[in-house]
Amino acid sequence: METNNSIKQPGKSSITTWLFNPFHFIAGGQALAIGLVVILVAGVLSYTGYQRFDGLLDIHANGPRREAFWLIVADGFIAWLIISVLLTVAARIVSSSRARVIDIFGTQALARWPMLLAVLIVQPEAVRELMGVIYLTIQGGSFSVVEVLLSIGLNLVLLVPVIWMVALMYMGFTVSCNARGAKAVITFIGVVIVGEIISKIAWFFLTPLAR
Amino acid sequence: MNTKKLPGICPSCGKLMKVRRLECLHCETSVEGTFELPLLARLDPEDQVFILNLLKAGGSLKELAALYGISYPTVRNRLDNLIEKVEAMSAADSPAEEHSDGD
Repeated sequence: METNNSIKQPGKSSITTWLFNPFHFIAGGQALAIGLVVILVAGVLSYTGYQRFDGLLDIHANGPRREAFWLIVADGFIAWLIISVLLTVAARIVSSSRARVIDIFGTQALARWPMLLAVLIVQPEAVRELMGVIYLTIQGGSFSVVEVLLSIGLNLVLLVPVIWMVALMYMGFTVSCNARGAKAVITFIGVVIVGEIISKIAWFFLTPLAR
Repeated sequence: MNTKKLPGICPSCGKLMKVRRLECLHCETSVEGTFELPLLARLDPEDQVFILNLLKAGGSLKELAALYGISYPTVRNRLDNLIEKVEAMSAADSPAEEHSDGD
């Protein structure tokens, strides 16, 4: 079979494509399997790192009073389920192609892999203490200006995996649903806003059960 | 050897190109007239190869995705976009055919 010139072959840009649109190469069940493992590992590491994914896009320092292990590990799965279900509904409205549910759920699971980076960054104890500076300051603690600035800097660094994850979530949506242009952007933004609201409601009811 | 690309659209005025003369390089016979270029011949070479490979894969998008090492939705999106392009070209051809039939 001829392969040249039929579909753009990955060449020099393949690393870039893998980093920012891995769904060009992998989707469906494969992406789902890898993504679910990533979500599980990130959940376990977030518990040991005193973090929580308590929202669709959130990662927060989880202070000295921690919720139960099961909820902290479930955080990522809940966020993934919310966005996947909402995008499946949105696909029926905006997509001209027959989007497969397995592709939507799979790409959204794999899109969460940058959260693994975020929790790895805060594993060292010194970094965790720095993460908690702002939180503890609000609680009445006292820290130097340098510590507060370092904490702000660290939180800004943690924005990078969050932004990366959002970009991957969008790419997963456009690939799995063949969504394009302004319609895709507006739909995605709307889904994220609704998803964030739903996630906050979900955690409002779940968190007391885990304390 | 570089394969020449068959132009389907006039680079000067943007209208559809037609075939005026066909030649046999073996016996030097030539046929002149006005022949329509088939729609498939007017597609980009990349699209033509994609269609050929899809045919050889028996219409299986999964097989095509495995052949190119890309995901199933990527191949499906390519096919859906190609279908849209072909439908637009067919729709553009239809008024032209009605006009020539009326002559």
